Amino acid sequence: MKGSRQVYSLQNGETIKGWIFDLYPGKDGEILVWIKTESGRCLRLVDKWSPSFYVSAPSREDLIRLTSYLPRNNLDVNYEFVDKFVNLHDCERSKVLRLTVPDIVSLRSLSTFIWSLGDYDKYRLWNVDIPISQMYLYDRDLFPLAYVEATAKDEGVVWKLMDHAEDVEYPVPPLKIANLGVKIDAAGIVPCFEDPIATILVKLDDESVTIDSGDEEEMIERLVEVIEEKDPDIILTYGGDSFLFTYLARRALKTGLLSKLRLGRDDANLNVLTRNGDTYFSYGRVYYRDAPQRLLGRLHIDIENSGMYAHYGLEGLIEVARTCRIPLDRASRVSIGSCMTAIQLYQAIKDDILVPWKKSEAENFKTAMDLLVADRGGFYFEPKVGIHDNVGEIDFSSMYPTLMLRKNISPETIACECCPDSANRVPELGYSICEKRVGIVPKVLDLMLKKRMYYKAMKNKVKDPEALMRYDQRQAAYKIILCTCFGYLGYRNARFGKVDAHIAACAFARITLLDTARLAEQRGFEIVHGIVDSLYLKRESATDRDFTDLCKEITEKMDLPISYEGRYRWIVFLPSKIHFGVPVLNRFYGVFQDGEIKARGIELRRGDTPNIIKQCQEEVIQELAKARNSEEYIQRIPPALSILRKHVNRILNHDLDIDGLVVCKQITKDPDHYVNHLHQAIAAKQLQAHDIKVVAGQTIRYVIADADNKRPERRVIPAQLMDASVHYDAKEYVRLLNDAISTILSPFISNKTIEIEEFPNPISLGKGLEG
Amino acid sequence: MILESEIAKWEGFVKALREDDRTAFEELMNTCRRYASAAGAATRPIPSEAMFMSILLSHQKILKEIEVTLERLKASLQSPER
Repeated sequence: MKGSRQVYSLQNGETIKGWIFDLYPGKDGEILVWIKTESGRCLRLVDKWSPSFYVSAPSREDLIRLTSYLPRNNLDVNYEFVDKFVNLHDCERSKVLRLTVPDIVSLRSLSTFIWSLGDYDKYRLWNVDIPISQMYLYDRDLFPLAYVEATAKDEGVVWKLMDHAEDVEYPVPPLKIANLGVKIDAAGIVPCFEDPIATILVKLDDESVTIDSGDEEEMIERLVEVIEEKDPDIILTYGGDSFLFTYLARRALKTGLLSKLRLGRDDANLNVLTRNGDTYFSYGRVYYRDAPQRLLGRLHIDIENSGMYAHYGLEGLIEVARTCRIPLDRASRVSIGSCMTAIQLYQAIKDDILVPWKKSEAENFKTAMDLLVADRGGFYFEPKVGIHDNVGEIDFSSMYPTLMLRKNISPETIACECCPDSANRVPELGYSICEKRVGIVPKVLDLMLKKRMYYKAMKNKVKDPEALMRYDQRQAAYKIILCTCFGYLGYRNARFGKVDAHIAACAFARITLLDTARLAEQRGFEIVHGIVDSLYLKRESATDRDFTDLCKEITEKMDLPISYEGRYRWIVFLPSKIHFGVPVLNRFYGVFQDGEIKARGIELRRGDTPNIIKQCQEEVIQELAKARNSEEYIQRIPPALSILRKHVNRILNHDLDIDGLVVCKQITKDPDHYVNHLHQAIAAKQLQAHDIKVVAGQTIRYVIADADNKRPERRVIPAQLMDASVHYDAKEYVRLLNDAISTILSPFISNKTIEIEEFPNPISLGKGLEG
Repeated sequence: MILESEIAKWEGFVKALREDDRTAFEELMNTCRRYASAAGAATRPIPSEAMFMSILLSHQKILKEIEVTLERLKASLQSPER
């Protein structure tokens, strides 16, 4: 193995063209930027740049007084007075103090120091906690994978941007991807840091390298050589953040090779210590994210830890990184909300608006009655339980973001001080909406909505599978970001959120759905179900043309695009499992005219359902899908039930793969905090007993071994601890199967569940409760 | 949510009922659940007002249905064929 690697940096006066691939802080006052050139090389540039933040105070004297304190601090701090919009809703710029410091550590210590000076009250701080690489990109008006011309100078890099983040068609350099996997010679059931490496596998597009000879030391050396020689841009792993890289670092440490184990392009070691990740709460669920293992100059994506890559692929990731101006490695790991925030921060900085550190934007005062009227979500029409023929589905495209854009809904525009007599009002609530300026949220949305619309149109137009995937991944990434932008208006930690704006968007959405429903009724349609931005309508012998004509009329009258999703041959809306015959939202399944099945809220859509249950439910629905209408549907129930019988037999006769029985459940608390013997808690505690780290938000995989056992630890077995002798609780799995099929047939069966003993003539069939 | 907590407040009333009355009560509450969205849109400070309106509305629909059926039966009874 070679000694310490020399990283090639550009010499003074040299110019290169290429794409910005990676960036991170270097020494004090330096940012290192990797450029992927057209020839496929990756070169490092050193730019001179220091982060800065802002301080505002009640008066200019307070700020001048503050500067007198600064020299006492031992930091190399520069300051100047500048004019900025301090608050989002300010109409005029104010004098603030801009402080430039050499690095992020001094930024943090100085900001905390200043904050404490005025008793945490007088001095307000701004632009303090923006990630440093992101701040650099904003400052230089660059973005990841931007095509640039860069010239190295003594005073830093001179950038010439030859690309636009707004572009929808842009060249992406060919990126070399390596998949890295390690097989461990585990002594126990669960691999641990003490177990030696068995095999290392590096898989590239056209070749794969297996490292399985020699001792561990040689294997690690060989891995470093292979990575250096093949020089991939992206290294994909499963569990690189949570285990793999820490494991490799530990093995290297043991063999004295840690300083040489460099998998990035720059000189930096992997983390030897297991760092705690983050447990976070989002939309009613608890998640866990591992701490990143960063490879400098190369992009490491842990597929298990990168929601963005797993859901939207490399194309989605690149698109988001470019538009939201978030470095690739960060974009691959952060939540969608952080991507949304990043583009808002860029917009704010571009518009000279300061970004609050400790947000203190309060909600406008409301009486109890005001709250009652205002604090509501979207509107819905309860579904009519049972089976319905010939139902058409129409959906508003990106309803909330489009309303926010068209109606100019933003924290600073709702009930603004500058236009109390504005003609633009929020329906039902009467809040005024600013007439003088476009809000920061609509500004950001404009670009994203346009881009999504373009990618969606292209996706439907192109035939080439590669292009189709590219457009689909890009539009899908925007779909979810656009959803977030509305939620963030009402999120208390959002930088630019205010609940009044959130309420306003909901009010517009409610009135839009109600007006649309009225219009559909006037055209003779019956509303079978409606929820927030979509309606399920039926009219006897209505054709596709009737539905598209209706959509055209709605789009014109409501000034909001609505699209026709298709016509169902039949659709079943399911009742509540607790209250007999009472409809519940979002639990239905149906078959479109072209045979496509759509299902929501039932077992096969849930992440925690074992595969065998999903498979059975899917097969049953496929059998029912052969029916062309509700009459044929009823006739299809007996053959559908024989599918249930087939799966029950598989379970009883042990004719299945054990993986099909695995239940995946997230734990919402750390294992020790569970008082009740929930299956996932029992499994988590067993893992802990085997020295496996388990924290809130992680997904636990287990098999039900004996659901009724008096000793809780015998009820389930975590997947990691399973061996060849594993047993499962056949009775419990049969019960789950019956439940799943009972769910979908519930409008047609007299009693609440199907009992397996009742076969072959199990249930009395009747027409649905309604419809 | 508001509806369910309001229903829970009627617990004492339900407890004092006989079994067949309890079933009827549960049916009434299911009627309220079926109109939960409209009841929410009414934004009444006293939730039971919206519940009673839901029940009245449902009864009005049932009355209308019975009326139509009765009229039909009456017509068929009075028809000259009989």
